[in-house]
Amino acid sequence: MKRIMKLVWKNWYLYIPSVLATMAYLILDMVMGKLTGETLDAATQVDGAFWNRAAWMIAAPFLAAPFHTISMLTKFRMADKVVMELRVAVGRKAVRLSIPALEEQRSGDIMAHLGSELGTVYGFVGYGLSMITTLFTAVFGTVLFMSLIDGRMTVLFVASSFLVLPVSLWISRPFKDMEESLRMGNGLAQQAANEGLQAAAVVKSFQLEGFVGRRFREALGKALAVDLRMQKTTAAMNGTGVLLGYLPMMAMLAFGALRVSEGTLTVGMLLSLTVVSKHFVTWLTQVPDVFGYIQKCSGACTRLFRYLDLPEESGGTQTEPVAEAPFVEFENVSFSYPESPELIKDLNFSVRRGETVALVGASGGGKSTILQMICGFLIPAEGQVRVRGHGVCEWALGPLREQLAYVTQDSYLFPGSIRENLLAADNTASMERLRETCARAGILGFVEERGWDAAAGERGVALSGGEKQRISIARAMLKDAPLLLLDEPTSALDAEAERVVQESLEQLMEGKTVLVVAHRLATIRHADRILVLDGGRIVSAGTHEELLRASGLYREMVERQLYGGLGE
Amino acid sequence: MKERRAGAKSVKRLLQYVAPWKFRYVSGLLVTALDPYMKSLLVGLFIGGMLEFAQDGDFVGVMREAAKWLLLMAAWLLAAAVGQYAFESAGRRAAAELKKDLYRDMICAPYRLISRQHSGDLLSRLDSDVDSCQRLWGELTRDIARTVLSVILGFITVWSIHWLIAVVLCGVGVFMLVFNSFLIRSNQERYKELAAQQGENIAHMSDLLAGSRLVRIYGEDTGLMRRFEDSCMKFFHTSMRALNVRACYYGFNQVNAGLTLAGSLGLGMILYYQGILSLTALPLLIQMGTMVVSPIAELGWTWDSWNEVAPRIDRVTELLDQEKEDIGRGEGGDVSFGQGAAIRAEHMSFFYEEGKPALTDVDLEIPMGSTYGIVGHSGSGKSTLLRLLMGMEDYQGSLRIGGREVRDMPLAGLRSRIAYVPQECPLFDGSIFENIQLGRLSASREEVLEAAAAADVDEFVSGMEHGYDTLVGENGVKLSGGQRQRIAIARAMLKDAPILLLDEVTAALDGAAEQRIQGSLSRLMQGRTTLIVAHRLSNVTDADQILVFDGGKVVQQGNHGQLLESDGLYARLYRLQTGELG
Repeated sequence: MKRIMKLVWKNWYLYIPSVLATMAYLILDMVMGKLTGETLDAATQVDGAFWNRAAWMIAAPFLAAPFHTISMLTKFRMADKVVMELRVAVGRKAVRLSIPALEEQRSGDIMAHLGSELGTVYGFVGYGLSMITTLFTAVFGTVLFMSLIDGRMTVLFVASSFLVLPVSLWISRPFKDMEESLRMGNGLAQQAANEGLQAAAVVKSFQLEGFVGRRFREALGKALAVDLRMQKTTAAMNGTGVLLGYLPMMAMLAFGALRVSEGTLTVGMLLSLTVVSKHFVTWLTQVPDVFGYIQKCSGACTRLFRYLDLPEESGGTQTEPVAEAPFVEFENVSFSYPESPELIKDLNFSVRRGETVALVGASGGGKSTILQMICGFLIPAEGQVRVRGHGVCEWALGPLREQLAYVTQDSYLFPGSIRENLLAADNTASMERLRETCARAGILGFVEERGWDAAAGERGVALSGGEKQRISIARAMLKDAPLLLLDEPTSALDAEAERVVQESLEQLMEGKTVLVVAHRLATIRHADRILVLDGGRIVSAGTHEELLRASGLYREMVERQLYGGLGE
Repeated sequence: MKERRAGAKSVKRLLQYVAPWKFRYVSGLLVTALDPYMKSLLVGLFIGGMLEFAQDGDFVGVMREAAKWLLLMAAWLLAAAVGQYAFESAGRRAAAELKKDLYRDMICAPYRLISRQHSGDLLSRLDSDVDSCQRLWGELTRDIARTVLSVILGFITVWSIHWLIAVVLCGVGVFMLVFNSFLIRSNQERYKELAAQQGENIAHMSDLLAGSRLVRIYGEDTGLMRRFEDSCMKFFHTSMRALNVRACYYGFNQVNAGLTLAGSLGLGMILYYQGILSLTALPLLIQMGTMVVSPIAELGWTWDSWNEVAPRIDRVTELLDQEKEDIGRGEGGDVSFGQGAAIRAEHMSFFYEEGKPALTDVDLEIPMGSTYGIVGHSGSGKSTLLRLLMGMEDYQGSLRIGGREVRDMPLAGLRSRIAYVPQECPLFDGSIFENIQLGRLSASREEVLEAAAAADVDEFVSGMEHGYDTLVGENGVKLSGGQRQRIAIARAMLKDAPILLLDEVTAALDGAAEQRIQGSLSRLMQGRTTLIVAHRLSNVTDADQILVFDGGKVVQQGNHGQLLESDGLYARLYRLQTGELG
């Protein structure tokens, strides 16, 4: 909350005028109220002031018009600025957050930061803040203006208002319990509806249409009962609230009428008092709303800033590789994910320049984790991961990642054009170079057929899995990084697509140092060395033939693949 | 324009849902619509009365007057509360009825319609779109009624004070209406743009999250981050432009307030000064001035919300009009083809869309009581065949079960003779017992337990604290894939139908779990005509015959040994799956 105010205060040149303008139009409104009575009194006396008073009374609202515009312009410009700053920050955070922290986030929650939470902040900075200004100005202004007219009446009015205030606050409190159970009831009904739709094929074949419909109706009936109860309470409270709101004014009028008949107050003054007092009543009943706004916003801010304060990736200072050092070196590395047993124990291996090394082992055995540690996404609990001579943590983030290209199982194409996706690797690449790279990756044909500006990514449904994977391979080629990390690049593809992608991959691997994680025999058979990972350690290493002879575990894996089938 | 499509017909149709509560709805509507006018009138008369008596110095009169108006006010507020409840409750009951009908129609639609629609879209029609319909007979109707009643009654009241004031106020109202609707319209487009840009911004954010690692590897100045920031800026600028208009609108409204004041109180004061009006009229004028003018000005907003509601109403009526499945079609209610019926297809084709065949010219014959495996690439039409057999899609050519054409069979009868086990067994909120009972709702407890035992459900249920009464589904215990499949098998056992369709039953299971359900599966297949659709060839090696599908056609048929020898697609798939080709 404080931090939102800090952001608001950065726009003080908007905030101050907004406060002043709001105060100005409120005060003009009260002046108008006071003038109403004066005009009335002037009409009963015969002293010529009537026209003058009447003219000012009518002029007051016109004078207030520009202040309304200014207040609106300034407070919402401020809200827009604050929200836009936060919006960009939320996006930046998504790519700077440390990977373990990112994985803990549910993407729905992060979307909510952009949608509903920033909406709440916008509402608060735009409306809520000015409501606070309005509240204070209205309450104090009214009391001031009323006491200018008549002190005793003011005391009577304020005192009676505060008498009914607790009651009307109590009445207008939100029914949290009922709202909660209504929300739950509606949620259950939606859930019942969803169950039926999701299971449509089974519903049809077992003829459960009636059963599913009945469950929905029952859930809906429960929600309706709560809703009706809530409506009843709301209606009853509304009426009581309005009546209570009128009471102080009525008391003031009755007492005032008495004093007019005594001759200690004029009719005009009494009329002015009623008109001005309206502000006091209106704003007093809005106190809960203001609190509601503040509460809602501080809730949203807590969630928002909890996200914005999550730890970011941090890098060191090294920017140049050590010439003779091995490309990748793991020294006594241990790693475990939170609340799970140790995944990698005391791991040692290295990859020298120009080597192709394959990692095999059971799924869930930590192979992808190893690649992610090399990228600096995950940090080992113990030991050292070194890339080209420096520990991953000593590298500055940018230069570290310039060393490597990373192709995963479900390579991500973002929903821009094919060209944009390729250029992500190198903004400066010329068209010629793009074409050349695509030719090497074997995709020039279909890329030109579909057009460089054809949409890739989620909505680019026209691309098959294999085509997408080859575009991502071309992208990695374009980056031309010396170290290549491949994480099961073909396992999401069917057998026929796999073969084509394999060809592109071989082009990509040429002349690079490669660390590849794979299940498929085709991918690992030609590696210089294969490391067999079991229980978080390397249990054997060697070429395909050597391992077939020496390692029981490896042989077993190969055999399982032979009989496992496509699902593996 | 698309959003104006909602015709009088849709509206009329939806208003029928309010009909059962006609009386309370109409009377409630009347009272709530009168409410603002009545409150203004009572308060105006109260103040006027007090001032009048005060001026005359009549002390007793003041007190009597105060008591009278207080009572009247209390009485009206009571009536208003009752009216509000009557109105709101009628609207909500109507919405609930609409939801029930809508859901029934969704579920009873032909399968092909359900499966082609996104369930999220259907659910949002059931939820937020119905809420919009509720706004139609709730807020919208109330606001219109309020406007009409307030303007007419307010005008009459003001006219009874002095005709000149009434005429002037009317003029101000019309002026405001014209000006406001101009301003509102000029901003409407911008708000639509704003909503679209917000959606775009969120989509970019989602891309950013999905591509988070990519951005790190390729650097932050990649397209992805830039696209997001650009969309933020665009949103900001559109929002600013909309704000400028909105701020003008606010200022203008204040000018209107000034005009209203001049027209009502100002003019009233002058007439009072001239001795034409009495003192009581002035407070009433303060109350009534805005009463006549602002509803006219707000007509623009009402039109706005109608525009918002209209397309959503269409989305609801569209569903109500959608085709229903004719469960009792064809001649003869019951379908009986003895234990293990034969299936025969001749020149059968099926199209998802015009020109996109999923099955073309399929001929096949599956004799009574045999087990057939169906294999092929994903998308080759395997599961489609199963859906055709259950009468869920329309086909061309001939498809017969037990000699009867599927398209002419009563659906209820047909489906009662087929048991279907899909890749993932849907569980409903409720106990394990209830979930198995879904196989045949009329089954007794003994029958259910017997089926459960035969499907080896006993094995894992006996370890549970509440046994068969253990709750499953979203709010219950989580079951493993293998356990769920055993429940699905138990359902099919209970149904005891002559034809059994297994659709990738073990595809989501690991090797060990697959082993465990094999026993119960083969017990289930006993004595039935069984079709096994499978991705993994190892699942069908024991079948009597295997049909190999490719591109919507049966390209090979034979048993495992024959197919391996013939060196076609089957043999190639087999080698691919066993890795020999790599």
